Amino acid sequence: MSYPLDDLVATISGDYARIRRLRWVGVALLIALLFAVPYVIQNFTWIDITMSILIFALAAVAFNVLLGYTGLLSFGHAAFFGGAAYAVALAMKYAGITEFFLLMPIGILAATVLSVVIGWISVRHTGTYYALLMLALAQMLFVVANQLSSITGGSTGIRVANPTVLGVDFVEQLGYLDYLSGIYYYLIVFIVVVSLVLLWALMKSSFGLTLRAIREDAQRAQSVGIPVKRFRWYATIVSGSFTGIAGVLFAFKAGHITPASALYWLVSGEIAIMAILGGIGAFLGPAAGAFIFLVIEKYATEFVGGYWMFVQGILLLAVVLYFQEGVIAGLKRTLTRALDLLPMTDRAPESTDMEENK
Amino acid sequence: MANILSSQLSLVISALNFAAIVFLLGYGLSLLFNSLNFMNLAHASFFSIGAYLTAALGLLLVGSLSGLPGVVVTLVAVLLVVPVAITLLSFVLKETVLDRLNELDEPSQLLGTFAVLFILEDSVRYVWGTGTIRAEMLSNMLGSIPIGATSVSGTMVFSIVIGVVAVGALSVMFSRSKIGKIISALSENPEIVSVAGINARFVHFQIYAISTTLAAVGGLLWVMNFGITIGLTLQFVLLAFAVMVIGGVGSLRGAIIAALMIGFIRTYGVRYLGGFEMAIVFLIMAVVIIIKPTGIGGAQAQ
Repeated sequence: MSYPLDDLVATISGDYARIRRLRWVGVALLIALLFAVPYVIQNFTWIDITMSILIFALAAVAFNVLLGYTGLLSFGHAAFFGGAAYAVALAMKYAGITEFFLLMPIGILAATVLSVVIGWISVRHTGTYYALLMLALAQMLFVVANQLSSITGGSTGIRVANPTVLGVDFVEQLGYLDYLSGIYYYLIVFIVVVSLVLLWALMKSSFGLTLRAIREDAQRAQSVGIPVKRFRWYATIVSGSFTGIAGVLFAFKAGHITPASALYWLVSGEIAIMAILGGIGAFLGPAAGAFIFLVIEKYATEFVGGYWMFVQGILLLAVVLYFQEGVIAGLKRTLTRALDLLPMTDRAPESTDMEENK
Repeated sequence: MANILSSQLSLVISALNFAAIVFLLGYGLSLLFNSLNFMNLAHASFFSIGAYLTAALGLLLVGSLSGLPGVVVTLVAVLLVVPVAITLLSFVLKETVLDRLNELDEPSQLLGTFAVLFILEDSVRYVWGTGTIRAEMLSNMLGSIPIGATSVSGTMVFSIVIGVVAVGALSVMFSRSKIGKIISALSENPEIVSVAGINARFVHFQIYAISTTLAAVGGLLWVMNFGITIGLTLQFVLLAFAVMVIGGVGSLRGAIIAALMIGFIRTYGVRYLGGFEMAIVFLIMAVVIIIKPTGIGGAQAQ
């Protein structure tokens, strides 16, 4: 005899095969929802926030390639984010390139070059040294951007004009607002979805498995012949490059970038917090974290005013101390525990295998 | 000729001044990481809050007593009150949050102390605002000391003296005192403390006290020299880290050399390269990490 509640419980807690199928439905639904946003939500503020969420979701998921999959914490991702943004801004200003699909590869290239160099230096170490080395090198970039004011505009930053998309100047055609919430919004959705799919495929491949092996036990991985340092370097390059994509999207959205908005350590910190908040164990966990973070930020800044850093600190501390798997997994755990309290819930044991997570 | 000499002299004094401050900032972190295996990013906050507290105290105390005795009393008062206050703060943080973070893995320690840093930073901003706070009344008290054709800031000399005293005290501590020997043993074998019948908890408190006092005194000197504002915390974190990395974790000798290097690079960098001096410090750190990852002093050497 099958109790209805058992089915519900089985679905939620133990029956991962069924969840996995449902998950694809969920993803498709989400993408459809994203496409519908500009039509459903007329309030531009929320469209703006959705764009930010998408951009930082990508940055956070890319960041997680290093933390969740390879076990490396980086405090310097602003270098890739801001580096790509500045590359695009400078290319527009000095090389006169205006086409989005030419500028995006330039931005990615900049981020890739930076991650190759910074990664090469940083993977000599792990843990603290890696994290703070990335921070120091990113800060070096910040200082350079700040100082070379004749080229980069210094602390006042540099304006980023609106790009042409596939040769068409939509701003001229539709006006700025319609371009932003219409054309550019969909561009962001498209780029972010494609990037996430690519990243996901990478992480599912043997490359991703190798990274996870390194995270689990680097010594053992080394002893079975995996060149650990080399793969950590590759992970940094992948992570940095995809973060760069987010940086390019950010540059065009913001219209104006400064060292403080794109290269500063707080940007690195925010990306890290988003990833951890949402959960580093799941591929899309950091994306959820970006959503949670930006929504909380919107409301927190209304209540707490200028002391948002304090709130961020509390959130991060709470997650580190209590919800170490992040909000998503923590919720899952709490839900299954709550269901345990109900009678007649004879559920299958919860799978703790990391492979099962997305 | 005399002009070149005197301008070089003031540069050297400046460099030594910065070196002393950076040593006090960085060695505490190095010590904490070496003996307790705890990477506390919020260590920079102790330095920063020490600076703010010193300025606040300076406002209170200066002018109450005059003459040389007045100067001495004020300085002694500040040198006593600020480290004690900050050490107490560190004890509170230790018992509530830091000890729990110490039990977690390294990324969690980094993230957790990073969070504490955020919390402390905004708390400081709540109390003192975003402007630059100076402690001129304290540095004016020390005036300037004429040397030959030029004069040298009394505050800088004071910093250097404090730095030397700190180094001396630490050396004596490590070679003679019981706690010094325990700390040296700890870095090699963390379990030995509990096995040999030593009160581990008390030792932990002592290590925190030493580490935080160094940072607080460093902050005191910093504000007297440069003034303090909230945007500087990152610089402090990175400077402390640079001292630790370049000098070698736990190495007193290494930290001294690292601090001197940073002091001179920064001072001459500011003079001749303007603006890029921090970038050069980070470059040196990167080079050291590539060439000799254990730092100048080597790991766990005293």
